Amino acid sequence: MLAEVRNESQWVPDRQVTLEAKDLTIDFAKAKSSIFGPRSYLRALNSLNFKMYGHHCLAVVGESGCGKSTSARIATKIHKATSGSISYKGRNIDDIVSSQELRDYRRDVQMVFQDPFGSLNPLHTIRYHLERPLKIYFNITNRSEMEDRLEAILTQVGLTPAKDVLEKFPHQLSGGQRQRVFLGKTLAIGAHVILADEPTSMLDVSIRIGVLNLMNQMKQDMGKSFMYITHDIATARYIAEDTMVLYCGHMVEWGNTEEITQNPQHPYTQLLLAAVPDPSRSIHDKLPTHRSLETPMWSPESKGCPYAARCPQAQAACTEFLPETKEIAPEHFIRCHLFV
Amino acid sequence: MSALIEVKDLCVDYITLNGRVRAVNNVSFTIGEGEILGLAGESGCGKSTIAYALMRLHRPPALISGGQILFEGKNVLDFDDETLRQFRWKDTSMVFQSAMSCLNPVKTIEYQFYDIFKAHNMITNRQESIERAKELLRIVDIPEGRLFDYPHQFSGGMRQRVVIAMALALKPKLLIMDEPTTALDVVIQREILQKVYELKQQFNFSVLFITHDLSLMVEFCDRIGIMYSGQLVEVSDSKAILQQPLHPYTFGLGNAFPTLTGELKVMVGIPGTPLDLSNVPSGCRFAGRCFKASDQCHRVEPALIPQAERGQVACHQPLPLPALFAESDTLLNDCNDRLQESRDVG
Repeated sequence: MLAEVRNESQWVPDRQVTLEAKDLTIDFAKAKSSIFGPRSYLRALNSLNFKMYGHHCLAVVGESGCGKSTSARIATKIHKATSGSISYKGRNIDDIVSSQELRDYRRDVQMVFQDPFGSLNPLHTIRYHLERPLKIYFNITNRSEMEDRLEAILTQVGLTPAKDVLEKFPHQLSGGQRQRVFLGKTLAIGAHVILADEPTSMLDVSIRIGVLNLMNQMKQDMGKSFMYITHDIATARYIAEDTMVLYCGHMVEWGNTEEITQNPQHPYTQLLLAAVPDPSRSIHDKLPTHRSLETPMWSPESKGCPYAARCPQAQAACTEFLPETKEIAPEHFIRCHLFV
Repeated sequence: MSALIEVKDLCVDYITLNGRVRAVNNVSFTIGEGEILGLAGESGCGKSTIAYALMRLHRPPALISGGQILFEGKNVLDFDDETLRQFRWKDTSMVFQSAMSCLNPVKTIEYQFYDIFKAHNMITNRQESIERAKELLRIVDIPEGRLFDYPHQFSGGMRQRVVIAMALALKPKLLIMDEPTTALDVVIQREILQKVYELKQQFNFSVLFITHDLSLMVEFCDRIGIMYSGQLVEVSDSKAILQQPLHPYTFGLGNAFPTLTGELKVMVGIPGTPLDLSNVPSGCRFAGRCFKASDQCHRVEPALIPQAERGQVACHQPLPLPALFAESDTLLNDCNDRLQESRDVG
């Protein structure tokens, strides 16, 4: 049986690369100004390079519209990259086309969405949501085996007593419980890579930490590989080993989470950290930003550093060309003219 | 500081098929002139219901079933329709959570300003309205030239600032902000709150600020009220509320968000789920989730009473000053143990 072949502990040993992005770039076509006019493009992601590991969590941090979700959507094959690639277990995902392989890939790589109210079908019970993947992917037909599996899954995600929860409809659960059901669903499917797109931003503060703890547990105990997309860098610090800060589709600073949060070097990372609510600070502290300008619309023709317009330390070179990547400390990379 | 608005024993009920559900239960507080009061709590604890009640925006099945709301000494609940119309926006205005949906998508920003001024007889002609609207846009840092744009042409943060400019259009004395920045990212959130604070200093209005982000609230507010299932459980100075929490619920909230600095600790949050308001047990409403709950807590409902030189709290066993903890972590460990126990039992 499949479950036996995919023995968890052998499958993803520590520090084994799961998803890897190389020079990932995507352009979206914009509406033409006239039907004969030239087609113009918006560059949503520009040359992203990252690796995800088993037992690890990669946090993708940035403001809305910076391309955080787009990167996860490419990984789930919703969008296709314009250039560059994502590979899974060393295999380019663009080459996965046969239905059997696609099915396997989609089982392995699952997404968790921001809105737990919209991601569960309101007409079906929790049992239905969790039973389907077990039936489809694992062919479980034995009634008692099914019950055991369901109960095990719900216990793992902290929804007890399982028997009561199974018969409930999504509207009878709170936001945090629904998000737990959804994480349970990824467990039922047997996903190894979980792309969580702002899974806690719609939850209450008191419930948020519980979901984060659950994700931590899934990561540590079951070896899941997480991508945690968020704009809250404080929660990223809580669960992620690696962090990458995106601005306008560009990686500006990335590496070890503690390095990034405790010793931020890029002006944008510094701004992001200064803006995080912190009881020990005052609302009147001035933000280290030059002017409050909107994020630029990046196109394939744009040049320079995307942050140059807002950067308080911008130099002449910043508007000319994109800086090279530099490793300023072990596991701490930056793309900024100040460090060239 | 004299009180601008005084709320006494406010009760709001929702009428459902299974009887009345009391969403706000005997809540009393005051907001001084030029003061920023924060209300924090989980979803469904009645924060927004209070905000709506202050402006009497509730419609059936919601019903204000008791208490008084004294605005400059006059009871808002006794206002007739015309007085109420004048009171709204001119005396008290509100900024809602989603700026996307409170602007009319088919009218320009200019028209929407004009609409406000016209309804309150503030202007004689359109040109005057345009002048005033431009000035308002200037104070929230939006270029005047954008006045004739439609809402969809603005970004989320700008739309929220337009909404704030509109709320301030008639120079209200009280501004109610119901989760004004929840949909925005942190940088824009901070910029907007800094702007609101600046304007508050300039025009000296009071603010009722509602959110569930306690750390943001500590930075922004003067005083903070913590709500739990329709009741105010603690009111304290904002600086004291995280450092010296009185109510175990406040303590739990304070330990529910990870910090950016300092040592990384395992956080516990608050075990259990919020109370079902249609089935309220006797005694303290938080007792079922509280790590300090005793027999008394399950029997007798505590009242909100002032503590010596600290805030007000509704708890039979308010927490001692942190200096009295042998180690501040003991309490957290207590919490952890209890959580573990509840899991084992489950």
